Amino acid sequence: MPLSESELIKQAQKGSRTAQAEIVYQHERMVYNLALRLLGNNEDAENVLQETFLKVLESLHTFKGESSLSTWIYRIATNFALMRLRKRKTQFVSLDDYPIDVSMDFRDFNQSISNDPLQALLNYELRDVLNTAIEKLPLKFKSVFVLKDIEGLSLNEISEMLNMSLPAVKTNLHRARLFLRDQLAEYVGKK
Amino acid sequence: MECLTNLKQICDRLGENLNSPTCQELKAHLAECTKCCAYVDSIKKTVYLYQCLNDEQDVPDSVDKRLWKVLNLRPPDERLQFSSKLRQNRI
Repeated sequence: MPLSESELIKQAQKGSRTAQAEIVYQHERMVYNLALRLLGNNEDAENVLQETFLKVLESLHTFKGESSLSTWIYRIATNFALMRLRKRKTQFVSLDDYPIDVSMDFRDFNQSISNDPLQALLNYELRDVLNTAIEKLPLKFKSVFVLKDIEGLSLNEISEMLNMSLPAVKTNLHRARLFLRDQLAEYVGKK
Repeated sequence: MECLTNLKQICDRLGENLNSPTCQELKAHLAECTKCCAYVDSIKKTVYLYQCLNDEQDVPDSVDKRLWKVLNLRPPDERLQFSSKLRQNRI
């Protein structure tokens, strides 16, 4: 019969290698995908994957169950990924004063983007545009966008995780979305 | 309401339940202003494209093998797992 999460954690904390392996097995995919989304390449994602689980096993005895185990692991992984992002020397765009432009009409844009995004994504040029645009986002914008719109975390969780005020999270998210939309609109307009 | 005021409200209310009473005025405006509606749709489409672009991936075998080696652990035998085979994808 399967063990409950709390029993699994207890055994892992007591040093059971089988229980520790089970914890890694259950969360490996979640951590890898999070790292890949934040960092955008397999090599960095693999490094974060290894760093995260080394830390998890090292610190498991400090886990008090105040959050779920997966939330705890998720936070560790996010921190490692953000540390790597901070070290990058990429030239980012400045979005702090990104305008909310209401003069543009996006009806044409909406018609140009297929209603079937999977179909649209068969266009490799479009995939490149999307990947390039997200790589241009500075850390505070990219992390908020990925955690909210791709990972599905709540704004409050992101605020706590990134140590950022809730209004700042909202503003950064909106600017990130606008920037990405505008990059896409530029590509669509050129076609 | 001015379009710009509305769009600032959209920004302010990000993440809130759009059925909340405070959003009714905004919803009414969106229903009649095709420009603002297109603006919101354009953002929704962009986000949706990114969500589709970032579908869940399996951990590549080579990455998986190196992880177990680094951790000095053996991956659980499928038959002897403590719990469900389903790996968690979300917190």
